[in-house]
Amino acid sequence: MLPPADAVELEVFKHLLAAIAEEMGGRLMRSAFSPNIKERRDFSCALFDAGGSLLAQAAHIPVHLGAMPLSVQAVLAAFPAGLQAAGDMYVVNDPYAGGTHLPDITVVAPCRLPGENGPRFFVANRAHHADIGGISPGSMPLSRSIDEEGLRIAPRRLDAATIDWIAGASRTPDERRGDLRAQVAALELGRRRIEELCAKHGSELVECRGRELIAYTERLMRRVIDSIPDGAYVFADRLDGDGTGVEDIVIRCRLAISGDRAVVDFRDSADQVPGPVNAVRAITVSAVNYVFSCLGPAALPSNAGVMRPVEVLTRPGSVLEAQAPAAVAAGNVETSQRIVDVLLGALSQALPDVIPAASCGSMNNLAIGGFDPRHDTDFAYYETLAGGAGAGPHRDGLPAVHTHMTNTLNTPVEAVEHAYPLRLAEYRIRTGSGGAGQQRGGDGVVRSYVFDHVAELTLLTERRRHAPYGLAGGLAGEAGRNVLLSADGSRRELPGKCRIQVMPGDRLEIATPGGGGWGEPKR
Amino acid sequence: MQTGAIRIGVDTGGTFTDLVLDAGPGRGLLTHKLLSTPADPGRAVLIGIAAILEKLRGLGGRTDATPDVIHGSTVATNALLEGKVARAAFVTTAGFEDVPWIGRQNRPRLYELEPQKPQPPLGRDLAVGVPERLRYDGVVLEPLQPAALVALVHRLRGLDVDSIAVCLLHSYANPRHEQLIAERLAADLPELHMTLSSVLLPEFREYERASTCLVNAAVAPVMGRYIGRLADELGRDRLRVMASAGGSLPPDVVAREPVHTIVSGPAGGVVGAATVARVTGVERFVTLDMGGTSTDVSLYHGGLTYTTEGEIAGLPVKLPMLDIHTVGAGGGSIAWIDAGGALHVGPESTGAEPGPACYGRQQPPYRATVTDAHVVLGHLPGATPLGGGLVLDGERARAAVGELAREAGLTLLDAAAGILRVAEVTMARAVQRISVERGFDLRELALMPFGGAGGLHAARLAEQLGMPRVVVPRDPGLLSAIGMLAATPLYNFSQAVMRRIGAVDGPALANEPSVQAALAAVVEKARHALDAEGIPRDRQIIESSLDLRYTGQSYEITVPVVADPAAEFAQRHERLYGYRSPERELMVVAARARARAVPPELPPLEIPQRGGPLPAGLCQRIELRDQSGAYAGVSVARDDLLAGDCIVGPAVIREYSATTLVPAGWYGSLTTAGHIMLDRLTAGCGDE
Repeated sequence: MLPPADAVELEVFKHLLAAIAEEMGGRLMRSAFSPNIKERRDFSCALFDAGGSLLAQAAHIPVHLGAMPLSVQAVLAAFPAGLQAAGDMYVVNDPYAGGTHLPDITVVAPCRLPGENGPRFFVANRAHHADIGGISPGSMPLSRSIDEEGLRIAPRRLDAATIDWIAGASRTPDERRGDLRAQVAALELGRRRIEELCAKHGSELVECRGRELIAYTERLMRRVIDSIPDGAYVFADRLDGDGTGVEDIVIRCRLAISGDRAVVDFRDSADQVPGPVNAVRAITVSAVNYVFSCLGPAALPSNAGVMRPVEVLTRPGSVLEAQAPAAVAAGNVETSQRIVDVLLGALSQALPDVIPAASCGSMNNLAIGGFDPRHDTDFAYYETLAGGAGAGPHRDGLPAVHTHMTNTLNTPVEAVEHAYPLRLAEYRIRTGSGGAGQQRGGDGVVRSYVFDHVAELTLLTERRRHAPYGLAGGLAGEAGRNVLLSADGSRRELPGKCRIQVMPGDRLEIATPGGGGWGEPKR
Repeated sequence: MQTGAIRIGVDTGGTFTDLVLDAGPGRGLLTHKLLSTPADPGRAVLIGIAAILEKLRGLGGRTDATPDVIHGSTVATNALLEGKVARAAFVTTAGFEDVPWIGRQNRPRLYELEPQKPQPPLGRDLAVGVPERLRYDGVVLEPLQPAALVALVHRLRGLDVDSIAVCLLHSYANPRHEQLIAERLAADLPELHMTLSSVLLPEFREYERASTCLVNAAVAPVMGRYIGRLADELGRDRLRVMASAGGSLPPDVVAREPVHTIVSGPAGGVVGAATVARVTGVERFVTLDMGGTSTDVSLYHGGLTYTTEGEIAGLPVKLPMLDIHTVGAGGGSIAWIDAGGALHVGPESTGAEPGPACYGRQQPPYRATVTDAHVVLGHLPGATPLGGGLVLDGERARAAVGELAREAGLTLLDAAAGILRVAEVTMARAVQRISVERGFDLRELALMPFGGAGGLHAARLAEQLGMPRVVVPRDPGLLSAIGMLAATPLYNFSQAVMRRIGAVDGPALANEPSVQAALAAVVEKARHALDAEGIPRDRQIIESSLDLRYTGQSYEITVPVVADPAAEFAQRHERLYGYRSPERELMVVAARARARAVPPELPPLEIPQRGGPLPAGLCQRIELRDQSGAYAGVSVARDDLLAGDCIVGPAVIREYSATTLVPAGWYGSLTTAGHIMLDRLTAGCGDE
């Protein structure tokens, strides 16, 4: 019988487990190849128990973290403990088998300890790969089916042949190899750290402490939910459209709080659509996980305990639980943000002095592909742009910051111009775009690109028609805009989602949405 | 810098200003400690210097010569942390004025309903765009017109600023436009302090470069006034300032580039530790500098280790500085129980005022700190005076820890031991970060604690981390000031190269013309800086290095220019990241040179050998405690120890500025240079 953790043991093991996830993250970031991982830090690392429950994670990208347990569980389902060989690692990206969208490739490493028959822990990381095939460079296409989005990887063993297969499907195979290698190296390190921890404390004790930490987080979450007034709170908002002609896609949430439990019901949301804004259930759960994590205390350990008191209801075939072969490229990056907006909107009715107005509500995705004559190679580049944060009851919203489900870094202007055949004409705060209010919403940004060569662009952006809402009398933030200025002087307003070809001298201007205001504006 | 004179190291800390005086060969070191004067830090510096000279006179020393003073200053750091900075403008390429505020577009904390992020030290109305544009390789795309310079001067006059930072896109590849601006402003606004990014940090990545320049511009006038006054009092050619890179700089350089001093004090500690390395022969260790609110750790591996990823007040500073990692666990860190029932230590601290409960100045309800836990466990005996005349109140410590114990459902001793365990898990993490995560093996590293409380945790941490040995330096509470005495002139220069090098054979890499040109340029600057200090060529050490990465990566590894830099890079890459990719092209991102003078010898301290066992009369029997209850230990005064003396744990070694805990299973012995070695008791110290 193991001694139960006291106040000290809980804190000590919280640090020990989180340190492993952080160290893996540090190694992955520094050793990866593509700017996506190193420069933008679009990756996450975490630690799981034998059943695939999250034990600890490093503070990386929220949309990854809430969804990764499903990847681990998918690997477990496909390769039960008995089928796993020591040292094996597994890879998955299929949204319909444990992934979220195809560019996010997850590698899972079981940790089988000396003398044990099956894995007692798993370490995993997820990284956004700049190109995984599909109809558009950057693999963030304006697709109509998952089959157009790139290579689908159901859980499989990651060996040299698999790496070749994945690299072969990409427009930038060399980068894929380098990034996958870095993912593997980080997991090898994580696996070693777990072995060391277990050698020191005993694997059963470490496992037990993991369970207790989950229970600890659950206790904290239950207290938070208990402090929310009981009742049912309903809120709805819309996605601008799916890029193929379906507009005003409704996302509706009915939040029921009863004591220390919460039920978040999204079943009244719209049916899945032809364009790529469909979200698989993992994304919906991930967004809810994010919102409840924000409500918790500052030092809350991020683990499976966050969601123990929370039930998420989705409807198969809806835009929040899409079924194959629905297109999903933007569900992860755009729809996830709207799910947060809608759940926060419902919570604002219960906690009017806590919840901020809507933030930018889009990751403003831009993928660029073409030929770089300087180095005689093809290139594929992907970036996301910040917007304004929503104002809250206590302070103005931050300008020019990634909010909610993402926290990726920008690529420095000087780095972009070194690496790709294009130039930036401006990068500035979009002054005045935040909503007015007692507290002002944060302003978005304007980033303009000038192309020296023919290139193909895919834009997946939201909040171009429906602006981020204000709260408590605050005004909405300004909607975003995408404009193409051609070399011949013509000016074209682009839709929020589109795929276009640009010619030398063309200039693309992306203006991202401001956050909503909070409270009546002063006259 | 003249030699042979009296030399004084002065470290201004948050609570105390520490001074160490080197009275010359055969006279050893004098020390002095006084309360800092935060409103005017220079006052304590001058009073302290007068007092320590008086001490020297009292010992019959000559004090007619003007002393050389090496000063660790917190002025730049505090100006930024407290927002008391100069009015500075930011001048950049038109269209990119907001880069400092956009930053890297991320937020520091993920799960925050109303996120906040560090803000640059100036208002957005002070950002000025200039119409001009360079290409990534320095080719001019849009020339900077004379009319634009006229408009800039006009605009800056209207803004009424004291200082400006100029940071144009790609200026590291071609400094001409920044130089045109500098020439014009020098002529039209000569009183303005100017920071040019192509001079201060000619490297790519515009936000980090701009941030470094803005930090410099914002504190330069403040630092200039402070250091100017001190230089007037002490003599301009007698004063030097401790720099973050572990060397010392003259007043005019510090006034121009104060950004070099943002970790001035902690750097002194690490350089002090390096002096201990020289005399003890322990060449690989981790420093552990524990203060009241935080603990600083750094790695010494046959030499100082550097980072270019430093920051101050959340703002990046990309200049090379000692790689010092700070965590929020110190002697005054407060222990508390959260709603889920876990015990936390920090980040809140009682600070120097009111201090831990045992200082007797807290009002009820008492808040238990790390120091209180040590008192409860007998590591810091109640009723014994500490430095500064403070007497610890054991009752108050027990009351505070007892309150926490009740809340957590723990016994008093469990709670006290638990506070130390939680604080130490945070410190252990910091030690791992700067060692294991950089590819170093803790089994090959000693731990060197200093600051007042480092010695209380060092052996316990070493035990937990599998480190073989602890070295507690002489005067651990004054090591920063000692480091300042040991600091020599040191300069770093860098130049972006941004050149892909095909799969060449390694030695050819440094011979590639563009690489060679950049190396020659930085070495020339380095040489010039030391020449200007009057350092003879035979006392100059100039080391050059290259920042390399595989093409496509964006993190560089700094590699010395050795016979085969490419092979060296591959080896370091493998140590850091676990693999190498010989088939990939290399990219030379930057060339660097570090110039320093050969360090002075500190006067050796020869402690006599006792030649017999430690007299029992010097050992006081004390009661120590852990979770399971009381156990017997001894307490000795460090001043009573002679070389070769051996103290078997459990024991406490007391001294004026610090306390060292020797746990059971460890023993301590004093070296002839006055340092204490703590080792595991395997064969037993009597057998040695």
